[in-house]
Amino acid sequence: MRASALPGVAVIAGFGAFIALALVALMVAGGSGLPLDRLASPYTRSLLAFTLTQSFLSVVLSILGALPLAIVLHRHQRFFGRAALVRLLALPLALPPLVAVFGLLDVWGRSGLVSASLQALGFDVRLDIFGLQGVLLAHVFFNLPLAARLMLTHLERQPATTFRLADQLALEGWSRFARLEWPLLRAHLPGVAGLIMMLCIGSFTLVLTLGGGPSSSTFEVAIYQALRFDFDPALAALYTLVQLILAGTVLIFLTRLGGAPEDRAGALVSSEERARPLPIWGRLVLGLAILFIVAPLAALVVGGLFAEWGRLFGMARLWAAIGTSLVIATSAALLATLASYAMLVARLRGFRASSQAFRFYEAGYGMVGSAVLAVPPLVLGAGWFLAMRGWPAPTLIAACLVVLVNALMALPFVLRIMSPAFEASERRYSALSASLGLMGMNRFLRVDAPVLAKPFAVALAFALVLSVGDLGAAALFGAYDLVTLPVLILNLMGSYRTDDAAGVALLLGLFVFALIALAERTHKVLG
Amino acid sequence: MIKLSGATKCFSREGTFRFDLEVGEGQSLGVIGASGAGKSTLLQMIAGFVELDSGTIGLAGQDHSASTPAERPISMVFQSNNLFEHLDVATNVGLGISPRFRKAGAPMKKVCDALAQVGLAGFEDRRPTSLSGGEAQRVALARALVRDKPILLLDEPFAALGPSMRADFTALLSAMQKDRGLTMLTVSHAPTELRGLCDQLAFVFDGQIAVIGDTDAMLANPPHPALADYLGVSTA
Amino acid sequence: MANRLTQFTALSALALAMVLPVTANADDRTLTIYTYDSFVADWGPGPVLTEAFEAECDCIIEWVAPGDGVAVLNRLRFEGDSTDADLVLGLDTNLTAEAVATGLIAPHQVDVSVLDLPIAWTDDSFVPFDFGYFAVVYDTQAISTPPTSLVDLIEGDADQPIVLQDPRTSTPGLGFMLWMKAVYGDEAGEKWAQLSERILTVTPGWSEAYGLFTSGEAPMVLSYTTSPAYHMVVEEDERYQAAAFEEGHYMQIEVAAAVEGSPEIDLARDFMAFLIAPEAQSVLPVTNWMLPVAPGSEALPEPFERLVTPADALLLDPETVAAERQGWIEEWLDAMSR
Repeated sequence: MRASALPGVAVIAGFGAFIALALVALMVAGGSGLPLDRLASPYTRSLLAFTLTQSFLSVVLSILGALPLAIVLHRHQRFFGRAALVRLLALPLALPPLVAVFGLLDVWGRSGLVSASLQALGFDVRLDIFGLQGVLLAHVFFNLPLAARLMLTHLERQPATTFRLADQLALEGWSRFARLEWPLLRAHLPGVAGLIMMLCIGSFTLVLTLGGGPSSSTFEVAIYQALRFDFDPALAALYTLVQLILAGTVLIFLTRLGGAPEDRAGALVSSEERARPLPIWGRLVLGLAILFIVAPLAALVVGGLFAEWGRLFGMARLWAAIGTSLVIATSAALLATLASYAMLVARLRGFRASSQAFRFYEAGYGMVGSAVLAVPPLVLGAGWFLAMRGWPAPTLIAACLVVLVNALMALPFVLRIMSPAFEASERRYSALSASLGLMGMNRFLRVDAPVLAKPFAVALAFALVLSVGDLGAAALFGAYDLVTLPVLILNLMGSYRTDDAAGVALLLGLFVFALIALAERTHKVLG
Repeated sequence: MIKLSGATKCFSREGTFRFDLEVGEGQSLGVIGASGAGKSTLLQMIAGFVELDSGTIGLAGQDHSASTPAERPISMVFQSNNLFEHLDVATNVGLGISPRFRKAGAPMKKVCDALAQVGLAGFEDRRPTSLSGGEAQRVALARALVRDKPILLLDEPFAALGPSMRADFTALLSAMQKDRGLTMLTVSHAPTELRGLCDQLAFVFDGQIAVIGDTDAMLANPPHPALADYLGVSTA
Repeated sequence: MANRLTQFTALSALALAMVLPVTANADDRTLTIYTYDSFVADWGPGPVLTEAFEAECDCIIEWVAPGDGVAVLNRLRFEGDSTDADLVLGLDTNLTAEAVATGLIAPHQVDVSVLDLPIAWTDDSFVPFDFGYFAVVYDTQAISTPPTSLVDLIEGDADQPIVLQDPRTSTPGLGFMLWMKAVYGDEAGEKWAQLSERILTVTPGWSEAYGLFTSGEAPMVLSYTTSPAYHMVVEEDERYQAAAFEEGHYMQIEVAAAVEGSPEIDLARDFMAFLIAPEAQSVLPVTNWMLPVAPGSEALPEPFERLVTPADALLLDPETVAAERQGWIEEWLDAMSR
């Protein structure tokens, strides 16, 4: 281990301790030891079974859907609306689930667009979205765009000559897929699948609302129930551990399956790439993608227009919420980006590749890079609130906790955005930097910062987007009284003010879209 | 064999490129010029990676101004990344025959022959990552052989090679070109390396072909002041 | 590293500055009240009550709103003796037994003779400030003949489904489970299994359920008898109405309590008395959309007169609820998964 590994090791240890201490605090508060017998109950087993089933199916469907979309978007660089569509792919992930549910229902619900159209066409059917199908639909809505985005970026990272070569050799249609795109993407899939799996394991609001009944409950429901109504912190901690172990197992399995994807250096596909005619299936894929991803978003926009804007803008709470959201999200995004930088520096420069220490570090990197998504923010908040009770300035502590939790939850995404660019630059410049004796801060200022400025900016924007839309903060019950935009939406909805809630959701969506567009202008790479 | 008439492309940043050029069958032309002058753009126009804003490109007697790279009677060897790293050498070569290539039968025989011709017999199952720069270039050449197209385009073919390998590769290329009667166009930033390979040189300057002539004469006695500057010799 | 710390500290400080309430004059006394968040929202009763109470008390009210009612209780449990709260406001009767168990609840010592509740109020610790009845609210454009009883609901047409809330995660969900229990006792499980045919979905909270209802996904939702009052008073819309059930309606009573050992316990008691005085009782119904527990200073808007008045007010006592809740939830889970 070299000195350059220290900050990264510290970050991982710090975040690890942040999680572990929260769990310990909860267990201590519980007093009477761990209620291990609760784990064996049929209830717990059924929750686990449903959690695994729905997340596995969500992953499979998201990836199957994302594959053709990513390929069409990569093969066809020049059609009207492509840029907007690619930007929209990042949007669902940033929406609070509660908001997204209503967009989805406007399209797929019993009285939604699809049902209404079918009825207008004379079919006497109403779609039944509630049940496993609804849960899957929602998860695919969130994760298909993410997967498509990640795959597209992976393809765009390949050297431009790879695809020119394919053009020359007439690798079109199926052979292009079989010979080139699939082999390139296959190694990348386990990583994408792992990320989606983590997001689906932690899903809660969507699952309950669209699940149709308590037989569709995830493990997260049990954690929530244990911590709130039952007030059994130890049980909540235990459940969280189980969920973490579950998540870790899945990740290890996926890593074995495909091995870590190898990202390669290369020029981006030039925007002067050949235009080729969009085949029928390509149009079909795009049409479905638009119906599937864009239609619910459009429904949210339309819904938002009915808000009473005058009253809304006159509301002090809205401005406070915007301010709080911005401050918290900015802090969290900065923290996540810097933490990622430290983690990547340690990973790429801090160890001898074959050393035991490196393997150890990789394990920690993998956990913090993915499995953190399986830790409910509620548990972190409650644990730390317990640990720090009696300390002065509770609001400041609460604000810091929210920032830390948001940063932690953004970390897996930020790492994925930054690492390919970082690795590419490392391959190109590490020998040169070493020969010139550029180390530490010098290396950062003279090489990393300028070379990586754009990916850093994108990562920052993405972390900002994730944090702004994160309701996890609101779930830190008892831990704070900060009003963020998602909290305000929830408040408004809880007071009959559905139209105003839709208005605030629209504001949030526009803000997020603007951020993504800004980041896109800065840099093409995202994912 | 290659005929560009007013072939024009405007880039917002790099400016306008406009080329008129004629290369006869079996000729070997070298293209030289400073970075950014338009060498690569010329090559990519001919190969079909850059679409024309105006003008025409004729190849082997037919108009190919709008055809896709794969439709053109061209094989191309890139400067680097010539091989798919996830496929073995035989498949990399075999894809030159058909996108549906399988390692069996007559196509496989053709691949083995081509590999033997470039001095890589027995390399069929190797992975591109295990090859040296010279070997990788020769695999790319083998693929060009099996493609069996009348025109061969080479983009900086020597860039990844050491000095002795350059000589070997030049000899191999030269023999192949004569043997098959290929029309060859080689882009290089190192003019002297084109001596044994090209009958003629074209000097690209400021987005067009400034001058074209016999290789030895061009190098010995630069007929254009910019070429003299580029070569670092004073005009006579 | 140093740079990042400075930046982070600066931002945190900024966050702090933005969220901390305006601080009081040094000589003013401060009453710290924990409550649920919609109580202190711009549109909630908080701002109006603050102004009225501060005008007469020479004090400053500091509101702390950690979430919903359960969150208020949990914050109290987490903080224990070190709590800053002088008064907790917004627990309901299903939570009072657990609140008492914290040992932090002081006797109220407020004259509650003015109370005008459907049941006799005998609790010495908690003062009720508003209440409501759970009710099935329906969309008159989708249903012409609403159910008139629980039986009717349970046995009715599955093509006209209802959205319920989850008793594991939400207060109304728990309320409806208790309603079923109060009416059907040991047969509740069976009835739930029957009712499950008619349940469109079970949401984690009231907001999701009510949103599904108003967006037209379901013609019925579990809410309150007072929900139509909001639509009629604020939106002047008669579309959504509550169905009166023959078996009676389960009550939700919202209460406040002073915190044992609080330095401002007198102020807390004054505030509780203020809450059931006429002025506050006129404010609460039209801001919190619940029913008053005592006479108000002015008449309520006309639509309140047209709300469903249950024949029978149902309520299980807090101790029983606290003791049996887990078992009942398991029964519910079992019945719903059948």
